[in-house]
Amino acid sequence: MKLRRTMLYVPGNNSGMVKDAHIYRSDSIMFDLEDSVSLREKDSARLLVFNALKTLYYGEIEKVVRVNTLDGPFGREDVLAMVAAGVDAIRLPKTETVDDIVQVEKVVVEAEKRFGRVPGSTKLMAAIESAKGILNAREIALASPRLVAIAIGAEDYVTDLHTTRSPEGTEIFVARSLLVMAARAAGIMAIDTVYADVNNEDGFSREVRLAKQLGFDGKSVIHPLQIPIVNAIYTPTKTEVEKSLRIIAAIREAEERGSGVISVDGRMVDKPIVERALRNLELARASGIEINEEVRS
Amino acid sequence: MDAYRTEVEILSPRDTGDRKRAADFLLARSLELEDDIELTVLVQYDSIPAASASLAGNIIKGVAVDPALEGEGFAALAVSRVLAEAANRGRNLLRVFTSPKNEAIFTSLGFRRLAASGDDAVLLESDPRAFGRWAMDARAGFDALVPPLTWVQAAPRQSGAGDIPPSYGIGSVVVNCNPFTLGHRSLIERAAARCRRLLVFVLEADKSSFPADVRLRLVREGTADLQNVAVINSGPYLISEATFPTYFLKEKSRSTAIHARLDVTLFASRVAPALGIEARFMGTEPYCEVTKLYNSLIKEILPDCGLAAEELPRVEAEGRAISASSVREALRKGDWKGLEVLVPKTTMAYLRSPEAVTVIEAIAAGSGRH
Amino acid sequence: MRITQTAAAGTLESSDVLITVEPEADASVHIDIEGASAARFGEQIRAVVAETLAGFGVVACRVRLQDKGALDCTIRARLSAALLRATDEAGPISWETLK
Repeated sequence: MKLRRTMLYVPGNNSGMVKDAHIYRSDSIMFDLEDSVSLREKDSARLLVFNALKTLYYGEIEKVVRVNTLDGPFGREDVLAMVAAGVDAIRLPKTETVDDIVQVEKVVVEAEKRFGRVPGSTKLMAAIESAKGILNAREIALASPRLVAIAIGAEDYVTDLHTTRSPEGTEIFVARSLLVMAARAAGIMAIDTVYADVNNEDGFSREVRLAKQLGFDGKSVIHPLQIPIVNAIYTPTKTEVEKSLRIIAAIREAEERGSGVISVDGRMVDKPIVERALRNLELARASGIEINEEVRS
Repeated sequence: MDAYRTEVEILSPRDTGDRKRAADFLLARSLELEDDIELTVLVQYDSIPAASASLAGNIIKGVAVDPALEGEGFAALAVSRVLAEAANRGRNLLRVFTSPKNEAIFTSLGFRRLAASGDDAVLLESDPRAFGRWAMDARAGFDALVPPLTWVQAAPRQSGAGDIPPSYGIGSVVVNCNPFTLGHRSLIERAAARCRRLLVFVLEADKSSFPADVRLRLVREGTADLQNVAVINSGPYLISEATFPTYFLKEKSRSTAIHARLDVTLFASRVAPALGIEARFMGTEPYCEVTKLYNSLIKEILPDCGLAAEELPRVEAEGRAISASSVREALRKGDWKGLEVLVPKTTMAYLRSPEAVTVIEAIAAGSGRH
Repeated sequence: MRITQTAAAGTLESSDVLITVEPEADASVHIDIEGASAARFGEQIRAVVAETLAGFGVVACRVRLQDKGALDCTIRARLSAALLRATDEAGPISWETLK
């Protein structure tokens, strides 16, 4: 099960940051070719990320590239180059309709064939940054089997709404919830938006807790220092871990009995509970907690 | 420097908000935002302005750092971005005039010093090979206009000069000629008699009433009969005061003197040796303070570099030294009779031509010294 | 591929390299390397440059590298960008053949 608690945002034209990004051990790295790269440097940034992905070792970290939109002059070439370089996922910004996903998938399919990549190996992510996109989130999330996550880009979204961001996030509350619902209905992940004030650790923690409470699987981060904070908040409590282990034990016991019914503490346990238990153990393991049980997803 | 907390912005002086932010940052360091700046790069750390650098044509200006954040590489980052922006505009050769304390930032970015003006200012250029390329071209151009063996054929002799052999292989004169007068003619003629070959540089910067191409042409026409004289544009290594920024000088009142010293030093230490120039000739200056200053600096600095500095007395007409400003004065007053003793026929022909009408009107209307 | 104008790519920031490519009249390649690493890694840098130029079929140009500690992949990337900016002949890039 792939965890995406943290997605570290790396400006694609910054050589130092690109080459060092793996040090911080986020779950995913998002190399950006879009907003952080000036128009004149799009070509250079594309080549930098292409060469980095081909040559450098990022270990287990998921390599994601945010390409430019396909209705401009850069997006298509971005996709071709990144698939050729072996990217794990293409993140499409400003996704508003199902067709946006359909279009990018066409280019990905073409690229996988041309560059000899296993068909289907390139995943997709969609960033939704407008009201229209949020209202279409349900369909977008179902638009492709390659789509593994949807995210919200709050800055552009609140601009679209004709408002500004507040610390409490009242103005993006509904969008966040809708996004999570759409993700769950499609069986994919939901990623929360970035928190720009790097020095405000308390504010950041509060926002991460809120996101987790809303059901988000993770958060985009713009500074490595944000990574351990997110990981800590997503670490299951001791109680949760113990309960999860008991659930797994109950599954094993039910299998040995040959029974289809799993019960824990006298209560029946159904599929969502089992899945949550598995997720918790995965999160626990990722946080460095030793899990002695063998976990089968 | 933590790259994740560093933000680089490009500010445009045409945007009021941007302009204010750029100016405020400089103001806090007692510096000014000059009018010809096209863009300012502002580096921020944790959203606090840390360093800035600006671009004006192919000159880098407005380099400033918050003293509390010095030594972190922010200034270098700002300059580096300016270089990138300039390259995007097709400008690959940049210069910077700055205080000596900033020199190290630029050296680390590949700049090399062209000249220094005492302890007040240094001039650096972004490509160390550019000067050499220019010098080779200039030398080739000079040789084409006046081949090295010309002196054998026709070294002009002033009446009374007799059989005095040329004192110098290659001599030089630097003039503005706004416009070319009999005074200039006399200076060049006398200088040419003292050299096997004479190189006359005509200043390019267009702050004069007469456009640069006209000024050059009039000098060429007025000296066409002098076989050992080549007249060329001053080129990028004779520094016009027009492009010299003063933002970083503590005492603005000294800017002319500092600029002049830089220009003369660059001439003596780099231009002259590269072109094989042995002497520089100038006319005595009774009126203009800036020219007087230049002459005294030339006499001070050139000998230290093994070059001769020769000051020749100005020619007079009706008891007054002939100068370009007296020509412009005569034009302003419409005194065509008076002009006849001030300029040669070639210049007069131009002044009477339709081409000169707009220029003369502007002179008559304006009250500027130039 | 012919180099027809001067172009640059990259930056002078740490771990990067600023590469300027210029046309060269004679049919040869000149490489100027500046920066602290020139002495220690000059050979290696030249090899990467030569390989990249060969990949683009460039036989005549002048390359100036101002190195700030760039990895080989960065040098390749910046040089590729500069070359493509310095030519009029750039067709679509064949990503599969780019080293």
